[in-house]
Amino acid sequence: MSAERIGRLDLLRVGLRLLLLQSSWSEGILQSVGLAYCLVPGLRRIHENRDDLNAAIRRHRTPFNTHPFLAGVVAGAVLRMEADGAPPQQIASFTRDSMGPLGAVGDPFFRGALAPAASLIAALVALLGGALAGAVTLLVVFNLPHLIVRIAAVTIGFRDGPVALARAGGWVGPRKTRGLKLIAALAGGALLGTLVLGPGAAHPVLTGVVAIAVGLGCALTLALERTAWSYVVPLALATLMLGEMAI
Amino acid sequence: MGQALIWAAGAFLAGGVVNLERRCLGQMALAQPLVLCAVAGLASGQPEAGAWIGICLQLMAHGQGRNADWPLAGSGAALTLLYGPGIGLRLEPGGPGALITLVVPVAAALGAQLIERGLYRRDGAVIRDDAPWDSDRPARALERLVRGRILRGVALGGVETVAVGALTVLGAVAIDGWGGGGDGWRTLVLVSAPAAAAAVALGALASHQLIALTGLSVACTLALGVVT
Repeated sequence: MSAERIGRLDLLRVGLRLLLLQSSWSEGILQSVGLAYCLVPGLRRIHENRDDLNAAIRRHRTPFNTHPFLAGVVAGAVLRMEADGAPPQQIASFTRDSMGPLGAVGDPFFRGALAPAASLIAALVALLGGALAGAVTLLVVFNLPHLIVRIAAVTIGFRDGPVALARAGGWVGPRKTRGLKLIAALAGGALLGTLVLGPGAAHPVLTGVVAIAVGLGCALTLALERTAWSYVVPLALATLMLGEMAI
Repeated sequence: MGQALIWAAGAFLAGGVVNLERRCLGQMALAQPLVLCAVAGLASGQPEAGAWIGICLQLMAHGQGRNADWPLAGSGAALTLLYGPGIGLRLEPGGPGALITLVVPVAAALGAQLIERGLYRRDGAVIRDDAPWDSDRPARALERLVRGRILRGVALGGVETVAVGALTVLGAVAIDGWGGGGDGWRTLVLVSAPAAAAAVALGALASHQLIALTGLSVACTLALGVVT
């Protein structure tokens, strides 16, 4: 029907507005204002009649909250459904039902794994190679995956409609989250080992060995899903012993 | 006085942009403490202090420490790094001045989050009473609302950054005059602060965050005692 009316430029405008999704976050309605605001350029193209446009915007007054980096999938899919003339109840229930699953995969991946991983890797690089190298590492490690997801989200959401939800879940699924956490644990352990013995220590080989050992210890403990104490105690003992050897 | 006003105006603008980037415009980590402090450290000729403060703040911003305004902490610390040399304040990693440059912005970051939560509550009540969807032209009302929130965010970020920057500089100058601590104390801070911060970031990966934080901090401090 009116899907042809929405071009790449319109999707780009929706995508750019999605950068402002969180700007109007409020208690109670959460991201609803932001989502409705993002959809406006696309809805204006679909609904030329002002009453239809107003009705389409008012459909998004119910509370909405999901991970902001994945909200593009919902925005794209909603525009596709609007363009295909889907019943209003179906659009409303899609918006309501999609936010939970997207948040459930987005939060652990971006906040629980990617952000700490980027920080830990960047801190290790900054410690070994200087502040600027660390800052560049942080920007690259964090932005590369998240920008790819954000750019693809609206386009794929609009192309595939509600089906895109499952695809987006695959981008940041539990296996990828777990893999990223292991990398982060490795970097974090190496950072701790390097910090304790000092990056410019008198025994660089020993420092390297300690860093790798502590990193592997952290990653292994995370992989085995032990409780925190099960890696804190051996880690402390190992660090103490190796530290003593370094004197 | 004139120079201080120019600094305050610059800090206001920079803080506004930082707050905008953190809240909504991109969220591309440009306003993260490590980036801000690294750039400020290089620009002020204190790259090591910039890296040390940036690493500590950056690593604290995860897990249980997530609910604080870390870009504000980063911009407060970056301002201190930039403004300090002009008034004879040079920060050394692990030194008392650098420690204050960590402590004051962290406290401010936690406080700023309380202000933001209060604003969210008020905004929710305002929208419940006067929803943009009820307007005759909801699209225009939504656009006006979002523009207003962005401008408010810029202004709030600017004011907060100026306040945090000024407090941090004052604190760092005061403690720098005192001197305080010896080499042993400095070494202890130099290693244990980033180690505790790394423990926070590592704790974010595991479910037992508090235990990981406490345990790893104690372990690192003990290890440091053995090494030194």
